[in-house]
Amino acid sequence: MGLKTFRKADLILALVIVGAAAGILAGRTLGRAWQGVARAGREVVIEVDNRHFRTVPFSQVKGVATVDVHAPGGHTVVVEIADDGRARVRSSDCPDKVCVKTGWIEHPGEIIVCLPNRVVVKIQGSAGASKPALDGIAY
Amino acid sequence: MGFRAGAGSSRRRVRLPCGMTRTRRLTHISIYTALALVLHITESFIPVPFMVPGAKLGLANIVTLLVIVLSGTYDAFIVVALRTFLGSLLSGALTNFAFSVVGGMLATVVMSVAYKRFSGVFGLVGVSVLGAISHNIGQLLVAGIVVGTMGVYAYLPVLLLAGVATGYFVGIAAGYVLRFLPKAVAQSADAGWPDDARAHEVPRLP
Repeated sequence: MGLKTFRKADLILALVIVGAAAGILAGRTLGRAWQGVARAGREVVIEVDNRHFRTVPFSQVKGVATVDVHAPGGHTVVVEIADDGRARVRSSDCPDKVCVKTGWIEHPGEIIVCLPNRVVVKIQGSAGASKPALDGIAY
Repeated sequence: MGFRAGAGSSRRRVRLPCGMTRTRRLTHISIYTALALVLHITESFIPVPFMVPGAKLGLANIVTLLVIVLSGTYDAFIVVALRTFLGSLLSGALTNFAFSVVGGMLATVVMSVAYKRFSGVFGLVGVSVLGAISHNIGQLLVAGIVVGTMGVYAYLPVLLLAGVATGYFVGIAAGYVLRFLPKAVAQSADAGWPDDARAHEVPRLP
């Protein structure tokens, strides 16, 4: 039995693996288009001075909802929550406006902090569906 | 000639190609390790045209494949262990060792089985492709343990595509080496190569 460099099965093997890999990649790209559905389970959590202030599920929002957050010292932070799964701080009476400049957040784990007013706005995945996701891989 | 390593000991059973003395075997392992090491280090200088972190040409796999064919699985494990250890030591990134050694060992196991049991089905290219993708799977296993989530396997399809391409190339390269190396050595010495190696026919590019 001679040893061959190339047999027909090699080509079939290569094609099967390439096909499987391409299929998974294509399926995942399609799956990403469906993420709008998954967004329904997410919610916005607002904390003031390390205490829970309010939790707003995106499913309860129609259009754009506005939440006035009352911070210690009579300060006010205005949080906007849009029904397409985004949130931002629209205005704040803090001096540096870092929270406003952060802009919109939309992914679970993203966070807006207004340090002078001690306000934290973050997006959470629904408890059941939140799988650990990677931010990036370094080698 | 006629001396077989392990003949007097029950420590391990290593089947050597006949006519292979302990010294010759030691020399072969050393040369293969040196060769694999050079390829292992050289390929880190070659930029991969498409940017896929973790994907490499896997040139050292040429040597692993050669050793499996010419000296057997046991020697292949020794060469892979030495190459991955010394390679990560010399390239200065010892953290790469875990990735290399697990990937390399898994590739060696899979390629040995594919070669020993299925060489009637797969050619060198097929064996090499199987080795390349099992290297990727082993790599990601370590990555998953390091990161703490097996979510890294989401990355597998990309690595598989790269693995098939490089495995193909490695298989063809190993075919060319096997076409000339046993003959060249046989002419210079009374090396006892396994029949499979002699019977290797001229590779044809698909």
